[in-house]
Amino acid sequence: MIGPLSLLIPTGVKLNGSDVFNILDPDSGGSATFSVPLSAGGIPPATHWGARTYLEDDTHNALTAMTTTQFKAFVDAKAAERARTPVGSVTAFKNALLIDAGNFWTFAAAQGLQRVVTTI
Amino acid sequence: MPMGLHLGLRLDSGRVLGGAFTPASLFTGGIQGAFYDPSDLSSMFQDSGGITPATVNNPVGRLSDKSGNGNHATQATTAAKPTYMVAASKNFLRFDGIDDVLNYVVPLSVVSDFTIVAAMIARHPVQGGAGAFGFSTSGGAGAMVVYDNDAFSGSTGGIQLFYGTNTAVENAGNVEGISRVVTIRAINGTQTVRVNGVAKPGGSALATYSGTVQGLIGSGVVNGQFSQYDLHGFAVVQGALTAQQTTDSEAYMTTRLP
Repeated sequence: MIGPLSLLIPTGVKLNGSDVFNILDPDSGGSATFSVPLSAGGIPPATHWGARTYLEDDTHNALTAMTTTQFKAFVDAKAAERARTPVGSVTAFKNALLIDAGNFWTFAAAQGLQRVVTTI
Repeated sequence: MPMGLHLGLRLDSGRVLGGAFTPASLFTGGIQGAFYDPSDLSSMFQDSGGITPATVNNPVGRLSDKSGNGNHATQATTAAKPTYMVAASKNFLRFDGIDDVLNYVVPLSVVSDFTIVAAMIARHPVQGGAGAFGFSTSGGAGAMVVYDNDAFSGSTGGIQLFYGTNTAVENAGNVEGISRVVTIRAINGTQTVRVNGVAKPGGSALATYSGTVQGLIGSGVVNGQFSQYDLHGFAVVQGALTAQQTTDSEAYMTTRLP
């Protein structure tokens, strides 16, 4: 495993990202990977979603070093290996994903984002 | 006085003659709850199914319940798993205050009387630090929350109880590295708190629970309010512990801390 790493995606690709991580997560709950709601000033609704996670070595390599075509083949192979539901295109998610190895909140702030806080 | 074979005779306090006290002994006789002990590496697994043993500096998806009740704390999403770490020869789980949370279910029929004892070390939250652990009902609002280093509510940080309104228990500032053994005793609908064995003034009203309770460690409420801290031990026990059981449990948890 490599990490923990900070991952950010815009809301528009959250569904695609959830479908991809349903495959990439070695455990069964990968579809819930992007669970941290973010927006400018922390004001709802969330415009982005974040996660701070460990990644398997090959998954890290696929996300950071592969082309979208290579990444699609990687995801498809993992789906078959893990008997998970295949995804269609991964292009939107792959191109929109931001990854950083540093502090999550510093990384989010650099994108002009804060957690959307819900009052209990 | 309940007595039984448990590597020796067990006394009311949970002590075992000829052996040291452990919180596991609080659950004999069908007492519900859970006991999580990160110091026991064999109780931790990378996956939520409990197949792959945990390894240091990697995520943990299952923290097995050592109470004998089978109420394991689990997390199936890798991003939301705490990290198993070691410092000063002590094992612990680090919750990142971002998205890490372990879930457990405790089938308590009457939760208005319960006791939680936890050993924890606060870590400095940068943004959004809030609930350290709590109960939640059917995915809704947190019913009982202990805040640790509570930056979220605008306090100076520390321990707070929440039910309806925040009840400050100990404001110690957002200082990284504060070690605490926190005990929550809920008796006849009122929560009281002890920190490092010292009773804190005041108490907050508590809902009367029934049926299955969703327990959270790392967060105070479903879908939000995470807190950054290290967990060194955690027990939730049906009913109100005796004074001796409470001090024994606190003493045990203290030994889990570095």
